[in-house]
Amino acid sequence: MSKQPEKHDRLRQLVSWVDGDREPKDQTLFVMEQRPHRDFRPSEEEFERREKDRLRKFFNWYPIAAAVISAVLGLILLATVMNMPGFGQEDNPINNEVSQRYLEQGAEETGSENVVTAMIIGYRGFDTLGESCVLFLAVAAVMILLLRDRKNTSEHEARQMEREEESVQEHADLILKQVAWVLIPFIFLFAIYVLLNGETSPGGGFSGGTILGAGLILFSAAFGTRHMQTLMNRRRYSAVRTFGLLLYGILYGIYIFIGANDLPNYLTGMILLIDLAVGLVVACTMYGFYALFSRGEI
Amino acid sequence: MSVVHNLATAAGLALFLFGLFVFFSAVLGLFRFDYVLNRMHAAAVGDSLGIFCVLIGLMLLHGWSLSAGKTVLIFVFLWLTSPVSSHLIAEMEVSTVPDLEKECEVEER
Amino acid sequence: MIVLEYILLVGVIVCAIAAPLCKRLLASVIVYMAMSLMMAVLWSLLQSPDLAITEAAVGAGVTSILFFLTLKKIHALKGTRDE
Repeated sequence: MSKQPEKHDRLRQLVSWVDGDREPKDQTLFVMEQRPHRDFRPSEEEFERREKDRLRKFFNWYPIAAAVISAVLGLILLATVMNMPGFGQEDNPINNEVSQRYLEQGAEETGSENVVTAMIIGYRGFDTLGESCVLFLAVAAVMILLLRDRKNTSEHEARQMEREEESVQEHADLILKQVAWVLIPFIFLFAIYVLLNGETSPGGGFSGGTILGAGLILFSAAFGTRHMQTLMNRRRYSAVRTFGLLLYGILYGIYIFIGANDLPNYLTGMILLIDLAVGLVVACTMYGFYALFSRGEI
Repeated sequence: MSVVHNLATAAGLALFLFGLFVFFSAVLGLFRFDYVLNRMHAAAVGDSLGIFCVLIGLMLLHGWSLSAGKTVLIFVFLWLTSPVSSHLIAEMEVSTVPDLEKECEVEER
Repeated sequence: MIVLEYILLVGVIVCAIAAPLCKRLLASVIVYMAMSLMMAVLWSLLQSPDLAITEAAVGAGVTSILFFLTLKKIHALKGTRDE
């Protein structure tokens, strides 16, 4: 009976000692510096002085620590590079039957003349599916952090945003508008060209999608939110983004199914559609980042 | 035929070198001037005239082909975009600086 | 052509060292942008145009826009003018 409260007491002592509230009773072990109680709040000036002191210490140590860490990392990387086999030698481990097969039969197995696209979309397509998921999740995370809606925006902020929007609309730059009006169709055309020509020439989903996203950003910057809403509102944005990822998942699922069951590979033209899916996801990611960072809404 | 070819090569080389000189002076101006608008003026000369001379020189040196047509497209694109971007920077500078007269001379119209 | 590659490599290294050492955040972003552009030229010299297009569009274009927007959002664009 008498042991249990003692144990409890010990535990509490230990907890408070770990928290640094009080010294342990047994001062023969080691004597701690007398600290103020945790709830003790120093005065404003004292607090400011302490913060400044900590900041100064931090700025004294930070460059040294950063330099040391960078030097160590650089040395490790240099050592790795020194131990690597020479560049372009024949007996390197990368020159094996895998790359030979990619180069020789890539065109007929995946239906893409460009070997890079055949690798990215065809052979290593699962990897690209992961990358698309990463982009999708990144936009989702930024949306969670930065999206404005009725819950996290006060009326004052909303009014301020509206006023800013109106002033932007009034002082919209005529030169920018005219030039954007001339340029944007060509940018979209070039983006679609790059997107759909990934099979035969450099380009493909990632590059084309990025150019498409840059065109959307230019449109949004030149013509303002209201015109952007007619081109792409939130519902349409979500639909396109999800459609891209779903299309990729379904098409690649079919790929895997065909490959696993030794079915005849009659779907060689699918690389075009997969490129399109990747491009949609990337373009939506780019534009979504811009819109969320600049106005907090899509 | 060879006279025309030689003439084209000489003209191309001259234009190319002139373009490089314009670029050099633009970079020099960018470093020498100390106010944003002056610096932008120096950079804009290089952006429009320099790129025009260099690309025309390259076209003359290379001869007429599909690449030359693409080069024309490149400088049309640059002539459209680069003045607009400098115009936007200048407008931002003018509209945000409270007293422009202190920074540089302003001509009243 | 190999000389151009060396010049670009030196430029990339100088920019990579200069970017974190810049005092002003805006200057850091611009130096980073320049590094990205040189990397794009380097990729196309190393005969990987796919990567060059993506690097030019993402590294020099969209990433810098996002950096500028972030600087604007945290109000770090003040005091960026020369004294």
